[in-house]
Amino acid sequence: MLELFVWDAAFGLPSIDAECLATIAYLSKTGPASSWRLVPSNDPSISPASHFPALNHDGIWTSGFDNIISYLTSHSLITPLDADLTPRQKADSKAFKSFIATRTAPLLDLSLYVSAGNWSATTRPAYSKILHFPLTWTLPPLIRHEALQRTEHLGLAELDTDFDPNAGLHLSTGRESLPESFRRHLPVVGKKTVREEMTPEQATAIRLFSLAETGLELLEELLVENDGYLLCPQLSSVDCFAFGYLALMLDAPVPRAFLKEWIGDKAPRIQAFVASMKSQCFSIPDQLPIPSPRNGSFPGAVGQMLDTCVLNAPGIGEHYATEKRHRREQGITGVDGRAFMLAVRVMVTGVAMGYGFMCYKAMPPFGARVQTWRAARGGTGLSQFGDLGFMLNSALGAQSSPMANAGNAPAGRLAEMDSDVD
Amino acid sequence: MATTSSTPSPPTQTPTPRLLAIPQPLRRLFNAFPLQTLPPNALPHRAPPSTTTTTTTSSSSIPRLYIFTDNADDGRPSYNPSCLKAQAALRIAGVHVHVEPSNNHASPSGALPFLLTETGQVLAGGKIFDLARARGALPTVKDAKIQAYRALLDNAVRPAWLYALYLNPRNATLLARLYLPSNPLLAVPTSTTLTQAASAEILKTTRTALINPLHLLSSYREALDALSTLLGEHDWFFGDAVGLFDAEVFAYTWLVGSLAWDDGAMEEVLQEFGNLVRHRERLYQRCWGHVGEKVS
Repeated sequence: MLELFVWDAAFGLPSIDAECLATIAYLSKTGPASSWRLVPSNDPSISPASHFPALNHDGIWTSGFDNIISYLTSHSLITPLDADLTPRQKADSKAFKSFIATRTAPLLDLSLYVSAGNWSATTRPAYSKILHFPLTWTLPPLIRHEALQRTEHLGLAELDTDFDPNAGLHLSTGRESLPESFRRHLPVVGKKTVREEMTPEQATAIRLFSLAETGLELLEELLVENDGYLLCPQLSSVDCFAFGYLALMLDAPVPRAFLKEWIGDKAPRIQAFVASMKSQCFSIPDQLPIPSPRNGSFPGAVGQMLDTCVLNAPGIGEHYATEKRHRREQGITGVDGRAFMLAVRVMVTGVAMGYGFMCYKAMPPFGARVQTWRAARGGTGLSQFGDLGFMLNSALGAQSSPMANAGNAPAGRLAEMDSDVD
Repeated sequence: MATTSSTPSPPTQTPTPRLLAIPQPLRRLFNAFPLQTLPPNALPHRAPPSTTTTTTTSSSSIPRLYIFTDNADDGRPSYNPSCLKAQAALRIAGVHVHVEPSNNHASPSGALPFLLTETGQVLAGGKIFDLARARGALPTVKDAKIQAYRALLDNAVRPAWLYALYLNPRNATLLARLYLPSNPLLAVPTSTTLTQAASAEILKTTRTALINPLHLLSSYREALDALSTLLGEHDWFFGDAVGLFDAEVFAYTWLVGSLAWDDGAMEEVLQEFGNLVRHRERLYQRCWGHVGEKVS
C-alpha cells in the first residue's frame, strides 16, 4: 500500500504546501484512489529526509515530487504521464520544473509567508487550523523563517512589517463626526505623506510586479503555445508541478493579493489552467482517497513540541538545527563521539556559568561602601557614643593618661582610636 | 568663523573678538605649522591608475575586470564560475578588458566580478553583460525557454558545484588552495563560514531539509542530460552564434574539468555527454585559443 504523507489541507485545497499539492494532483491522475492512501501529517521528521511530500511504500521512504515520481515509475506502480515524451520534451520538462522552483515558487513564498499582512490574516490562521495546540505556537514561525531565508536574495524584506497604516484606531479616525468645539481641542495630526499611507506591498509594487512578470510570464506564454498545457497538448508532470504553486497563488484568500491581481490582469490562461486542473484532479468523486490523518503518539507530540521550542530559541536554535541536520544526513542515531563531545561541552559551559553566577552572587554589591565593624576592645565607655563621645573621651583621656601610662599601652590605645575614627 | 554660530550670545558680538581672540604668542606658534609638507605617497603599483583625471594613459583606456584569478595578466580562465562567466562573455563579445586579481572585499557590491570602466564607473552583475552587448557582438536571444534553462543551471548544476567544492571533504585541499588564506588562524574560521554559507545556499535552492549528495549528483546528471539534448549536434546553444548562455554553461563545464579535483565525480558525469565536452573545447578554443601571446 502506498502512503503519501503531506501537509494538511487549507484554502479548500488538499494541502497547504505547493509540492505536496502537486504530488497529490499527479497521483490522482495516474492511479486509482484505492491504490494509495493520503496521510495528512504535521511532522516531516517521520520520513528520513525530513521533507513532505513523502511516500511510504512498505517501509521504503521517498521524498520530493521528482523523486516520488521516478520511484513510482521505476517500480511500475503507476502509469506515468511522461512516458510518451520526446527527449527534447523531457529536457524542456526538467528545465521548466527548475524554472518553477527557482522563479515562480519565491513569489508564493513572498505572498503567503513574507508579507506580514497576508501571513497574519491568512496563512497563520490556516496553520492554526491544521496543527494541534502547542504546535500552533512553535511550528508556523519556523516554516515562515525558512520562507524568509529562501526569498532573502530578492531584497523585499520590507514586506515583513506588521504596519498597516489604514487599519486600527488613530486620532484622526472619525474626526469629522465630532462637533467643531471638540475638534479644536484635539491635537492636530499632521497629514501623512503618500508613502506613509501605503502598505508595504503598495510601496514595493513595481518590484513585485516585475518579479511576478519574471516568474509567471513564461508560463502564460507556454500555456498559449500548447493549448492549455505547459509542455505538450496533453497533461504531463510539469503541469502538476506548476499547478501546486499556481493553485495556492489563486486560492489562498490573502488580503494583499498582488499575485492574484497580476494573474487576473495579465494571465487569463493561468487562471483557466488552474480551474481546469482543479476540476480534473480534485472534483471527481472517489478520485482522491479519503484523508486518514495519522494519530501521533503522545510522547511523539511532546517530543516534537520540545524540538520546535528549542529550534525557536534565539542563538541556540540555529546550532541545534545544524547539529540535527548533520545527524540526519549522516544517519547517526545513537550517541557518537561528536554528540558526546557536544554534551561534555554543554555541561562544562553550564557548570562554568553556574559557578560564575554563584561567585557573582557572593560578591558584595557593586558601588556600595564597604563597612567593617569591629568590637571595641577595652575602650573607655564614652568612645562608643559617636563623635561627641569620642571628643569627651579624648578630653577625659587626657586627664587619665598618667594612669594609662602605668598600664604601658599608649600605642595600643592610639591604634584603637584610629580604628574608631575609621 | 564657525564658532560664532555656536556661541550662545550673538547680541554681544562687539566684545567677542576680544574674548575669543587667540593670544598673539599662540597664534604665532600655530602659524608655524605645518613645519614641512611632504609630497603624497605613491599608490601601490597594483592600484588602478587615477580615473578622475582626463588624461588617458594607455592602461586606463580599456575597462578593468576584477575577478578571482591566480595570475594577473595572462588572462587565463578564472576559477570562480560567475567570474569565468563574465570573463568568457566579454571575450565572446570581443570587448578587451584588463584582468585584475581581486577578492570580495575589494568589490563595492561585496561580490566579484565587477568591472571598472574607463570613466570610473563600477558595473556589477548583469550590467557587465549590458556593456558587452553595447560594445561588442553578444547576440540577444529571443527564445523564452532560455530563462528555463538558466533556471536549470541555478537549480541543478550550481548546488552540485557548491557541494563538490565547499562541502565535499575530499576536495578540501582544492578549496584551501583556491579560497582560504594560508594562515591557519584565519583559514579555520573562513572555512567554517564558507561551509555554512554553501550549505545554506544548497538548502535554499533545493527546498529540502537535508543535503543529500547522491540526489545533488543525480539532479546534476539530469540537468546535463537536458542541456545535452538541447545542444544536440549544434555548435552553440540557442542559435548559430555563440552567446551568453554558452558562457554560462562553459563556466561550469570548464571548471569541472580543469580544476585539480580529488573527487572528480562531476567530471565523470560530464564525460558521459560528449557534445557538452566538445562544446567546452570549442568555446575554449574560440576565447582562449591564442593564450600565450599577449591577450589583454
